[in-house]
Amino acid sequence: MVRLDGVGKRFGKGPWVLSGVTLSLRAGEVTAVRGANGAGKSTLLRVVAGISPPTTGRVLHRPSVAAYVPEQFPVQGGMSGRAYLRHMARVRGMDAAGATRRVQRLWERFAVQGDPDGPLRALSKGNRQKVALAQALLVPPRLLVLDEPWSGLDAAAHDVLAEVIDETRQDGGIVVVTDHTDSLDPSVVGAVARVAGGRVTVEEVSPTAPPARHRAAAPVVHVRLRRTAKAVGAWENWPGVVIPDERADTARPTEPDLVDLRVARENTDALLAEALRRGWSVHEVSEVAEVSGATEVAANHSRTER
Amino acid sequence: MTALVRYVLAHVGLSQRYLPPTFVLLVALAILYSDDPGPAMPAYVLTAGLLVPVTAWFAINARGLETPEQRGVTLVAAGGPLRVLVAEITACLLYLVANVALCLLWPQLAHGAASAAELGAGAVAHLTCGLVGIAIGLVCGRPLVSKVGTASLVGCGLVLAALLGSGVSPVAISLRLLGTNSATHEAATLVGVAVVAVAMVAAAAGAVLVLGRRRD
Repeated sequence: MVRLDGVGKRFGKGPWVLSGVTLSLRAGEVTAVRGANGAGKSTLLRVVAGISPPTTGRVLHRPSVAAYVPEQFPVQGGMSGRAYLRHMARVRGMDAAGATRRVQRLWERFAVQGDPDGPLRALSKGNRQKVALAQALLVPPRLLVLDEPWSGLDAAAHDVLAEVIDETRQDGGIVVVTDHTDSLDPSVVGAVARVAGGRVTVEEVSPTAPPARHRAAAPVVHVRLRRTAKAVGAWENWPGVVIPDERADTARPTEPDLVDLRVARENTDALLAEALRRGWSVHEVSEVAEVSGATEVAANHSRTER
Repeated sequence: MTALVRYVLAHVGLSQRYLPPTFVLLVALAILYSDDPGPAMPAYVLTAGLLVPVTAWFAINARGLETPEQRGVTLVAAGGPLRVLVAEITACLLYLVANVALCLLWPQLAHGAASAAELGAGAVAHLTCGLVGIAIGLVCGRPLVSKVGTASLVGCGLVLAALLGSGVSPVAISLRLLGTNSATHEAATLVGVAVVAVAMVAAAAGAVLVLGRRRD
């Protein structure tokens, strides 16, 4: 848990941007920061991330593995996107081979368009934003601070971002995100911090939906997807999806390109449409017997629960 | 920390902003040592003096090259401003050591005039000048001075003060010892001002951390 204790912030002799902010950010919870333009949302996030030291008060218990994504990511210099991410991975303690693999995976997951070996500054705004997001996920962050992360992202990246936020939350990480345009899925938000006049008021909201994978219920459909060269994204956090435990499937060895999913009937259509849009190929769709499906899903659910 | 130093060096290296002062140094070396300049130490005066603006320029760029947004990302990824500053100073020191080696090896390979004692004294004097340059670069770069124009003016002023402040500045004292060919006899003074130069870098780093953080 990160705790802000009477935090105030002013720049030089300017007006107080924040004053008397006392706030707890809990592990495994998404806190949405809302407020008008210029209310101090970005300043609050920079204080939480440890970039700006508070003028008064303290920030306590900030985890050592923190990550920050700014609202925009302009860069200077001739460093390439791949080199930049690899350097950041090494800075975060990864070895050379691990860093290379991780950077490749994130580059593909966010579907960054552009030459990974060309200058990072030559990428478009949205693609630089994806690099900034990838940078934050090189190692799973215990504190993820996102400042308007949707700005400039395309629809596919919106989905990946939603997955990332949910993954971090389910891993027990703290997520703080400014949400000016209500792009954040309300079902994951655990608290809303409203910034106005330098003050912050917090409303607790219980997430309307339990974590996505808990929702799978009979009837269930078995979907088998084939990974193609341009396929992007992961399916762990798609609504209603349960990925069967691999050990349970040893009787029927699968090809590495095939992904088996069990998905609630009500979510099947949306999943298939999304799969095709993300460049996956639908290999097989079959029904799972209603009662046994439900028990299987429940069993899987208990195994995947963290 | 090694990874962070590598990142700083790669970032400055790829930006090519280190090139202009490095070229100036190379041209000076080429002109100075095109003929045999005679005794080794008086010839060192020019290259040691040049190291002051050269390392100041490098230090300004090592700290000022990232955009503020990138800076924030780096601070969080690296685990705080102190680690970033230490990495940047380390990168400056590596650049300084490479330049000192260049300034001493070039005449040695071209003319081979210097004795071991003279080489040692030359190395200490060059390091002193480079360290003062790094200290100047730290205080007149970001975040203490964020405008390029102001940084250039303040930087030029401080470099001139360092070169001309006879009797006070470690640079001026080192250059006088080299110029009068007495650096090997007055080793204590030479090492003493080198220690002062190290302290100047430490003081500049402290000022950057304490005063600079107020602007973040």
